[in-house]
Amino acid sequence: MRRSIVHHLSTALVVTAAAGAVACTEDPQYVQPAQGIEVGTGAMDDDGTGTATVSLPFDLETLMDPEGDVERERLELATALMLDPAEVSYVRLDHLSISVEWTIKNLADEPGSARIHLNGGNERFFYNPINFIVVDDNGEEEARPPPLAGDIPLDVPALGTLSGVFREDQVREAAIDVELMTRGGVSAFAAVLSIHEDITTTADVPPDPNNPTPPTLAIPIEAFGHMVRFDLTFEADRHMVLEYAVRVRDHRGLLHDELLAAPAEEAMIFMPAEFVPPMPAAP
Amino acid sequence: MTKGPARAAALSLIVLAAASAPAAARPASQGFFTEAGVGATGVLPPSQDHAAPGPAMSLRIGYDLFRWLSVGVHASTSSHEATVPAPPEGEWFQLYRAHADGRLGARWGSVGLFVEGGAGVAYISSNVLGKVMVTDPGEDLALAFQAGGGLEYQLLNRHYAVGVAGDWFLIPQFAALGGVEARVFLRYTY
Repeated sequence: MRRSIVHHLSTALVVTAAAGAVACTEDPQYVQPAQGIEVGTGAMDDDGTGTATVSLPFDLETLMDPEGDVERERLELATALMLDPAEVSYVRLDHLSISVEWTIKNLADEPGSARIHLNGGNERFFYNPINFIVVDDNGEEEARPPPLAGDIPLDVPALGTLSGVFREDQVREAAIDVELMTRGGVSAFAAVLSIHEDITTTADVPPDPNNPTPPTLAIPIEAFGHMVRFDLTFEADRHMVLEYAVRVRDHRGLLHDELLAAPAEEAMIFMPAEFVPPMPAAP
Repeated sequence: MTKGPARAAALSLIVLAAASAPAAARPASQGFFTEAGVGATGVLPPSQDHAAPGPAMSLRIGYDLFRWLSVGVHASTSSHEATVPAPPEGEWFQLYRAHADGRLGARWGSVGLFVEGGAGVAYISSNVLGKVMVTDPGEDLALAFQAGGGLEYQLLNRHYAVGVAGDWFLIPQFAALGGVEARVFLRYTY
C-alpha cells in the first residue's frame, strides 16, 4: 500500500515537473526597442524614411566561456564538419527561432501607404542593399537588390493601425541569404530572390560569375550564423509610426535574461562588419 | 379547534429537528491524497487590461493530518493571451504557481466545505508583460500568495471526491499582479 502511495505521488510530481519543463523550453522573449520609427513629421530632415537597428543581447559568459558547454559544442561541431573553428558561428540557425512583429500607426487623417524593409546580419557581416548598387557604363544606376524581407506596399487606414509579422521561416531564410552572399559569394539578387531553405552547404548555390574572388570553402548549413542584428527601414507617405518587437525562442539559453537592459559588462553584442561586395571582374 | 394548528406546528418542528440532525458521514478515506483540477483564471486590476482570462490546470498533493486539517503542495498553471499594446499581438504567456498550503474543512454527510491558503512562488513564461511594466527586465520568478475555499462532494467510493473551488492569488513583485481561479476537481485519497 505504501509503495503504491509513493509511486502515485512521485508519478504525479514527475508529470507536473515534466509538463513545466517542456513548456519552458519554447517560451518566447521579446526584444523591444524603447522607440519606434516615426516618419512624415514634416521636419526639414524627414524624407519619409527612417531606419533603426536592434541587436540581440547575448549572455557573454554563456556564449564565450572557453570551458562552457556552448563553446565545447561549437568546437565539437567544427571537428565533426572538418572546419576551422573560426568558420563555425557562435549563434547558429538551430539555436534560435526569430520573428519580427510590427505595428504601423497612421497618425494622419488620410489613408496612406507604407513599406517595411527588413535587413541586418549575423555575427560576421550585415547586409545593406545600398552597397550593391552598380553604376553601368552609361553612368546610370542599376536596380538595387531587394531587402532580405519586406518591401511590400501596405495600405494603412486614416488614423488606423496595421499589424504584421516577419515569420520565423522568413528570418531563417534571411540568415541563410546573408551567409550565401557573404561566405558563399552568391549574388545578392540570387540570394534574396530565391528560397534556400533546403540547401546543405554554401556550395549548393553557384557563386556570382562576376565575383573576382569566388569562395574556395563550402560552409555546411550547420555552421551558418543566425541573424543577430536587425535593420528596419520604414517608408511612408503620411505621418506614421512603426513599432516592432523581435520575438526570440531561445532554444539554447543564449540570450541575456535582461535583454536590452543587460549590464554592458555582461552582454555580448556582436558588431558585424558591413558587407561590401567585391568589385565585379573586368569582362 | 385550537389543538389542531398547535399539533401541526409541533409535528413540523419535530420533522425539522430530525432533518437538521447530523447525518452519518459517508465513508471517506483519510491520509495521502492527490487532487487534479481544471478551470479558468482571470487577472484582476490593476493588470486586468494586460491579460485575458484563460484556461487553468492544477494539481494538489497533500496529507490529512486530521479530518478537519490537511497540508500539501498545490501547483497550478494558467495560460493567458497578452493584451498589451501591439506589437506583439495575439501572443500568449503562461503563469505557473506552486504553493505550500493548508486547508481547514468540515463535512456534513457527503458534503464538505473548506477554506485554504498558502504561500509559494510564481513563474511567468515570457517577458511580454514587461512592456507594460508588470515584470522588470530579467524578472520571471516571484513570491506568491493564495487563499480560497470550496465545496467537496464525497462519492460512494471512499477514495473519490469531486468538488468546486475558487482561489485568489497575489504576486506582489509582478506589479501586484492578482487574479482569481475557479476550478472543478477530482480528489483521490489513498
